[in-house]
Amino acid sequence: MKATTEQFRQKSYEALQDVKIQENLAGLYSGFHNARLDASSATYDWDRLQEKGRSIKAHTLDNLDFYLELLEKNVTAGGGQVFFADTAESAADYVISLSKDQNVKTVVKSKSMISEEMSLNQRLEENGIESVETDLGEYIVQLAKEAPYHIIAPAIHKSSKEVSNLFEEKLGTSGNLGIEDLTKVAREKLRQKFISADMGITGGNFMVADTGTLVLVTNEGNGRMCTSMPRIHVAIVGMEKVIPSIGDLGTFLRLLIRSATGQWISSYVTTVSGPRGTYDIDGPEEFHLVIVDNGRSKMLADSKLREALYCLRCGACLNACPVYRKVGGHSYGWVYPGPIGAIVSPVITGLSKGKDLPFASTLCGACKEACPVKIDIPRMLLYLRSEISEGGTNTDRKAIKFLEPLTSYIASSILSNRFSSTMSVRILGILSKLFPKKGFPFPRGWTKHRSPPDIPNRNFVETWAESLGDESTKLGGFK
Amino acid sequence: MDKDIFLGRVRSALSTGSKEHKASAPRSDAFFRDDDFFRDAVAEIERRSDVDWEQLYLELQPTAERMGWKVNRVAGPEDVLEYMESLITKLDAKKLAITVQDSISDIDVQKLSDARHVSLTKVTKQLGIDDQALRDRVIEADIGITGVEYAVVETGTCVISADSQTGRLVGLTPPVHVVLVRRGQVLASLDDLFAIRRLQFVEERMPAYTNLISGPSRTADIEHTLVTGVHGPGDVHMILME
Repeated sequence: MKATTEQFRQKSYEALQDVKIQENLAGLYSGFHNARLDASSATYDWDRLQEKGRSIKAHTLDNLDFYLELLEKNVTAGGGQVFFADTAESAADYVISLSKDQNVKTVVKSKSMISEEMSLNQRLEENGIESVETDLGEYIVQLAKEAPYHIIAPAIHKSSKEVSNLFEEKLGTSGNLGIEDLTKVAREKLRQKFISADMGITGGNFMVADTGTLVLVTNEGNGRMCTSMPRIHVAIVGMEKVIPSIGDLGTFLRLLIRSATGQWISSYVTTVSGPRGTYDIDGPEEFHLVIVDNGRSKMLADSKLREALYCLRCGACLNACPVYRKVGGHSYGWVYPGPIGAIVSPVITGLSKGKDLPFASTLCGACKEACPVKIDIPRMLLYLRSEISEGGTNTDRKAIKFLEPLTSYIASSILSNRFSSTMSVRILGILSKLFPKKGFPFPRGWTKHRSPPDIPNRNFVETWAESLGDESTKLGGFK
Repeated sequence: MDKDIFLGRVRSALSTGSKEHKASAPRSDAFFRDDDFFRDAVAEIERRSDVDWEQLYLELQPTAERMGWKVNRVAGPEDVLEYMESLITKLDAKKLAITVQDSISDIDVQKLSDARHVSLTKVTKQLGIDDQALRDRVIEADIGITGVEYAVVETGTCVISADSQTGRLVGLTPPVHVVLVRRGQVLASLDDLFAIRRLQFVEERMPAYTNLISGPSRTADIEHTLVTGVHGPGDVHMILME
């Protein structure tokens, strides 16, 4: 996927103006966010589970070479074929050359964020191979020729009316279908694709090293279809998804699923340790596992960013984030949106291009609190901010470098003196009445979308002193 | 890309990111213990599910219902057929598909299908038809009937693996899925299941393909509205046999 991270400001502005998108985004909080809170509080000792998941992740990444080698050995022993891809491009090349060798005409895909990194659908189509997304949300965004809007709810920005119109235009269904009918249409259309497909492509939520097992967490059943019907199964997975042991899987399934949708467990968890056995009734004859780096080793090599690779891709930080819930998924301009995306996307696609993303946060910490493995997202955002301003990637940043300390110096000089701070509030109070509420002339970038606050005639210290009357002298002499 | 070059890059990233990196340092907690540890643990898990089957059934029913299973507890094979018969009537089902798993071989669904004049496809390689024809018949079925490998109390889950007796599609493509659970197949937690898997792996008998199924196929991809039966079955029945 071509990164458009440099358009963050413009895209955010457009999303903020879109009433429909704002409504749909609001549903994330009442839906996923609250469901996550319910599921995690119903889980025995959730805090300890988080700590456990986090420490396993830390251990695994610190020994990533060991676990990748163990994984490869066990997958190969199970009859699977492992390919290591250093870039998204080489991963796509592998899939395409495999498709050509095997005379693949149609590919069915289960939801996979990494295939977005690879622009896999586009690459396959360019090579004359039909590629069909089979997750309902992904199917919708593919028909609309858009990118997924949310890690686990890709079409959450679309209303049922829009989906109905889209189906009418692209699939020739009658207009005005309800949500249930739309789902039925997708079931019928996609069932035919599953039957005729030669290759199923999936992502992977986990790769278990000690048994050589790929784990898929799904709800619709398309993941089961993709791993059951076509004669070839290709799984494409980021290298950070490896976990040491099948004994760790329970911990991670609980953490991931309860944080993602707030379900106790998803409808389906599929484990694949190789192609069909010799005596099996059905199933793919070949199983390929493509393990992808694509910039992840950059985060591995920076001890301050390694933690970003703990991410389970549950999307909880998106739902919790006051910025994501306003600017939406497309503003971030690459595969991963939201707080974790504000770290991962610019690091993988280039920090100078995506320099606005680490600033797209209030540092309120809601993301860290929501994270099932307690990734310290605010810390890493601050680190990237300092990288950007110290690096001075453009003149704007240099100007801020000069203005910021000056502003802080003036503000602290005024506010640290009782007399000058009282006076400044009074002056601001008078000035604020002279200027219009909208379109305050200075500073333009700040006031364009914000109204100035009402400034009271008296400051807090004065109000406090008055309410206490004579008592105030006893309490430290505020007067 | 060559594996050694790829892993070489990972190693060099690791040594840049942390000076104290020691290559190949596996963790020494529970899951890297010796095989005897797992043999003992699994023996205990299996003993419990045999001895405590009644208690486990009692606990499984509510968790499975919460996940969307329609749970029924019955005494024996005759009751299963009775339940199936009422289901066929209710759904006006014409075609059934069933696996040939040992755990459900004593349920004479053939007798029922003959009596009710519905077609029954037994999914086995010995059927003498090629895979494509077999597949079409399963896809056309109104109800798929399977046994389970295990059921899990913690999450209301049925564990079904693919093998020579169990096709992947019987519990997947028909709109209705009926699972038959037997005494001694119920585990308390996911961790029990994965401990068993670990031992099976060591003993080279771990299934290559498994689904943990917890309720109907569902989606909320349009406007957060829950719809069941997207690609998999929308109507799922769990029968607990005593």
